[in-house]
Amino acid sequence: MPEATQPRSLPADSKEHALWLLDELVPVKGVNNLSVALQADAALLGPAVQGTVELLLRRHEALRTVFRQEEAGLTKEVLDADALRIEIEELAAEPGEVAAVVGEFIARPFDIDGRPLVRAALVRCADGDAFCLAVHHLVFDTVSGAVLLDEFTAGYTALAAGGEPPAELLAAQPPYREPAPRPAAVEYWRGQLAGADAAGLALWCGSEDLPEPTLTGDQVTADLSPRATEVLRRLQKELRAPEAVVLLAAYGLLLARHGAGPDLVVGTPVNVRAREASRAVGYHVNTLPMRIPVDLGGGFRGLVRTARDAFLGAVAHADVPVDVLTPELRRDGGASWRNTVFRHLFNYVPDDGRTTFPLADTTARRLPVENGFSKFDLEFFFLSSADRVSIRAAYYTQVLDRADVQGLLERFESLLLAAAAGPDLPMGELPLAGPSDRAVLAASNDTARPVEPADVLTAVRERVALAPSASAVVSGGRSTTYAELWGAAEHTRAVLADAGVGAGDIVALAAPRGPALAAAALGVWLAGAVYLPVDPEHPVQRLAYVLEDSGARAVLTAPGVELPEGVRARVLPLERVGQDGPLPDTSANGPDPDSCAYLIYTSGSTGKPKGTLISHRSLGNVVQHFAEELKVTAEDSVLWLTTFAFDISALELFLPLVCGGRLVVASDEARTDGRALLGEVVAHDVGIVQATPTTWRVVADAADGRLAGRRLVCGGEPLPPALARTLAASGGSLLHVYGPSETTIWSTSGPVPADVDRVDVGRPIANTQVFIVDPDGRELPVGVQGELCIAGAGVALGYHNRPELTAERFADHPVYGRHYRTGDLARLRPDGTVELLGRTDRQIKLRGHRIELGEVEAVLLGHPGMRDVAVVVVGRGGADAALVAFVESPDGLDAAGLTAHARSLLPSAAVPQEIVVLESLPTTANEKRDHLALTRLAEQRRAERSPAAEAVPEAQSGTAGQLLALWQTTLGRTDIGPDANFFDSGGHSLLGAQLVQRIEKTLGVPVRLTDLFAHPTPLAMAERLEAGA
Amino acid sequence: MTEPQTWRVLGNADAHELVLAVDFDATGRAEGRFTDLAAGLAGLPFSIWETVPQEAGTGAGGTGPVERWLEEVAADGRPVRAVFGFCVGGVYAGAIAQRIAERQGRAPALVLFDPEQSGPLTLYSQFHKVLDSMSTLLSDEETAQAAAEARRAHEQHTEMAPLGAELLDVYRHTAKPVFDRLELDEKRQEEFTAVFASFVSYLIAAAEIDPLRAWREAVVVTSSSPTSGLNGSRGAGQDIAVGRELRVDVPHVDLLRDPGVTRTVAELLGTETRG
Repeated sequence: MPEATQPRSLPADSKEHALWLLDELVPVKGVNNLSVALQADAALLGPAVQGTVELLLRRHEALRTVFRQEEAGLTKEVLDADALRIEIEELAAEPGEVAAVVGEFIARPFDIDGRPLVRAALVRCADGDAFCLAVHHLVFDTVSGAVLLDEFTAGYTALAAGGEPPAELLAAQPPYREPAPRPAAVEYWRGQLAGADAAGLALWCGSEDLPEPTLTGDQVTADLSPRATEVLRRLQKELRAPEAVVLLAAYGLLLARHGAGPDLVVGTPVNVRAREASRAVGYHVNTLPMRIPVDLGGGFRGLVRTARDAFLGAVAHADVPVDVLTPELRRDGGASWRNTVFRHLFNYVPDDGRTTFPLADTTARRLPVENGFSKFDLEFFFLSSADRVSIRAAYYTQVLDRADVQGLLERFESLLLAAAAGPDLPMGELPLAGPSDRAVLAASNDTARPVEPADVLTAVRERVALAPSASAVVSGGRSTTYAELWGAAEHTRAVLADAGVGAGDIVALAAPRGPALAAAALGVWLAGAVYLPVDPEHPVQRLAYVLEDSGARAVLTAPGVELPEGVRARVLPLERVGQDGPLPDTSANGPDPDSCAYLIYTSGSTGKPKGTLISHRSLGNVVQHFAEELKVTAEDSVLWLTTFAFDISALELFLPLVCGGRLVVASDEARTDGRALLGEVVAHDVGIVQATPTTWRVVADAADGRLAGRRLVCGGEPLPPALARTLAASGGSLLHVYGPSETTIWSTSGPVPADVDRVDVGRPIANTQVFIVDPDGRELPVGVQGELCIAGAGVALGYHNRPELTAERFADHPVYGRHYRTGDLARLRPDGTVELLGRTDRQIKLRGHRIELGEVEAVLLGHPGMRDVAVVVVGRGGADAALVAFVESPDGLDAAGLTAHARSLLPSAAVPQEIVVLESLPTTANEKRDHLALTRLAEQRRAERSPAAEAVPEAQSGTAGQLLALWQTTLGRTDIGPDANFFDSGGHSLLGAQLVQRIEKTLGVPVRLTDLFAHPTPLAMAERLEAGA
Repeated sequence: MTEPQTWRVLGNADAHELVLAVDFDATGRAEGRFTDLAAGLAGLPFSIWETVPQEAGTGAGGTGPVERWLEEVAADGRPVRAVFGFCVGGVYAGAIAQRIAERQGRAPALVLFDPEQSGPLTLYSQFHKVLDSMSTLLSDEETAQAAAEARRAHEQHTEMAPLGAELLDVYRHTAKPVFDRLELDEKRQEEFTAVFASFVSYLIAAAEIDPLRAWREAVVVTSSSPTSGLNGSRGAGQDIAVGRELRVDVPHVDLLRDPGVTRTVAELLGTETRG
């Protein structure tokens, strides 16, 4: 290197530094690699290519600029044209592989250590040779690319013909030096961005970024349809805005309808070259944050005005790189280096529409090759020519996937067309779905099917008449025939009639599962009444409340069942089974399908159970659906396992009876003991078993081949993937089902493959429709998460005596009709299945971070040895809100490992502050995880360690005892002993400092933080202190 | 025998041979520790010693801490069977292993877990980790402010020492409100800051050592995390030559506490005798 070049080294500016830093921080290099690439339709001449490249290097000093890290910081230097020679690499590609070969060439990282930031390749290919210049963004941008392509074409054409290069290429292009930002422009941006909050820019689709971003990118390209292009051109005139602004507004609307904003900030790269330097090669672009608040109540016309002001304002103040302002802005992503004020980019470039151009005596076309990265979540790059607008949507693959982006592109066009049709309509009302969305929804919801007979009672009656002596119920070694069952049902009808029970009255059934209970349910229907299942084992207050609230006219009880005192309903004994009755008259009318069949109580969010009224038609629909889906025949046995007070029990009960099969009553022991359950399943050759994941978990561990060949139904709470895989691999066929009681037992179902990774809940069952809505009730398209709504035959009649609640949760929809809002977060997958993502009320905001508690649970569950996990938030809404994880870990908990695992996958705010081991997580009456109880438990633990409760806990003698007390106080837990390692029990080093301070004050001995590092348990610290004394 | 000051004895104090482990065991961190690995190796006849973080400002130059660690090993007199290094600790481990090989005439096994070189970017990204660990105790504005200041510092300095000094400065005034919120007294504040300062000097001193020659003799255990250890170097286009590389399907954070890795290490200690 000649020494004379040394003084020419200059410090890099802030913009260049930021670019370099990004290069360094992304784990895989090449994020800033750009290119100019073309493919000719014939061979290219090597010497002419080499000559042209030399010409370009000589002409543009940017291409000769190198950077290096020195003591003074990042510096740059322009190398002498004579000192620099770029060898053209010769590569070979098979036909059709040129883009891939060029892509690899571009992706190769540059070393920023004084070496040139440009390299060139000539790719030999039978289809025609390609030329590629790979250039680092530090010395290059999009405008530079267009300039170089023109100049390469002109230079090569001249040299290939054996002529002299064009005179203008022999002259040096003066480099462009960007002036310092004007103070007024800085002021402009300060005003523009005051109060903007990037945390609100996340979309409702895709996933969260990793704690250490990779910025891996991919892209999807699409053209606007001719109709949309025409509409765009019309809008431009109608709304008196440049085409770019109309597109920007539509992009903003697209993002807002997908959950970003409404206070939107969209980035756009702006060329900052002065007019006289328009052909200067270099890095002369600023990516500017345009703030575009989107009011979905207003019209598109207004949004275009807002976008125009933002866009023109940005261009007029383009001389300020956003880095100048970042310290003042609230940014997304906590302390991650990937802090930006925007996550979505808008880029618009007019295009002359030429796809090919002459190159010497051949024709060439530009090769659009990307570098495999995306610095932003999403970029819409519009290339607009006279007759065509194409969109290249580049995306960060960690955050969005291809299907998400394809959907966004389709919906962009839908919104544009809709906005043009009604520029003054509220934008929230414009249809969002694209053609693929509509097709997926239509196919998924195409579930209409006749249900004959419409009600269960009629179906059972037909079975009784058909095979009266067939075995209907097997319980405790005794078999009950269909005729005996029916006989008892008829008796029940008579007893109820005598007691004055009439049509529509409610009759509670308080008895254990068994033939008598089965007959009683049928008998209640024969009496025209409504059954109300209650579990005699439920707490007495709950029973009393349910009996009172339901207004039950009578209660049928089994011997030994104790009812709460003061029950107003008439208490009647359950009819015993064992006697045949007269064969049923199959011509008799069944119940009115739209009348109520049963009333079921579920836990309400307030803790008070609420009753849901279900019609005969709803029950008939779900039972017939599963009879078909599970292919139940008269030869089948179904296990009656679930307590009758949980609505899914009714499916176990009626499924065999409407098919002429056998109902096998499981013992109570089988509900909690996997081995007992498996024993009964094998003993009675039960083909169909339904249970919640909680139950399946204990069964799966003990299965040992005994589930092979059986049909397993699992639902009622989230099914962890690991359990799903275990069950699916058990040799049985696993059906995953989902549904709230308010839409009758199950509303969706789907088989689970053995290699399942993300468990879905399948598709809607017969005569059922599902759709997803945003918080304002607007329907959302495929892949976008929102609240799941269910319409169709299963929708309940409503809540019993709760008209306000009924009106709140059940509503009408112009397309789907009456439906239930489930409160479950979900999204539709492109294959039409529904993926559940948690509860809407389990999505919380903690110190600015949006956290889905279900996701935190899923991450914790991924740690080895975790059997079950529940995460709750304590002190919700307060400044000291915290996450507490309750875990079941049968082989002992590695708390530090679990925390580390969580920290490696979740943002810090989502890592639980406390991990509590429970032998088993509490469940609700319906064997679902009881989050309410856990929250109370967590709150209670917190209250116990509040200052008032900070008395010295359990006595432990001597220094160790005093230290243990301090450990417990500082960690806020009383469940730790003298061997507890502070740092593995939820303590971090800042808390450690607090502990050390307390030790000193309490014991009056000097202690250092490093002592705690070395002696992290009360016992070890006590030894240390006693040895020191 | 007096207890070493620059080492912490992790087990089997009286064994006939030593295994040295270099790490900056900043407690409360997410990654597994040599304490975890040592617990799994407790059945082996080695006394495992782990480096104690040095106070900032003690000694100068890259060999400073290495010399102090070696002094006590020499004073102890027992032969060293192996030297372990975790992350940047691998840099020191290499230097220590070379020196011990000269001294005892037999090279100890050098086993590195996701070894990484140190440089300005290491400092900068470690600062972010520390900042992230405090983020729940800071307001969004405070966090953003600190991140911006750190960025500027990184922009201005390419030398480790001034960058470290400036990041330490940013750390000090960022942590101040947190200290106050936790009602930590002066002494604690200073002590706490000293831990970060010590970590900064650990990284600075490591940057002055060229470990590549020593690493050519090392057995490297590489985790499955794409940004850690040799995976990270490869991603950055740097192909580091090592004696032997064992790739395990265990994330970086679990590397030192994974039972499979522990077994592998035990096997290495049994068979890996060179010299």
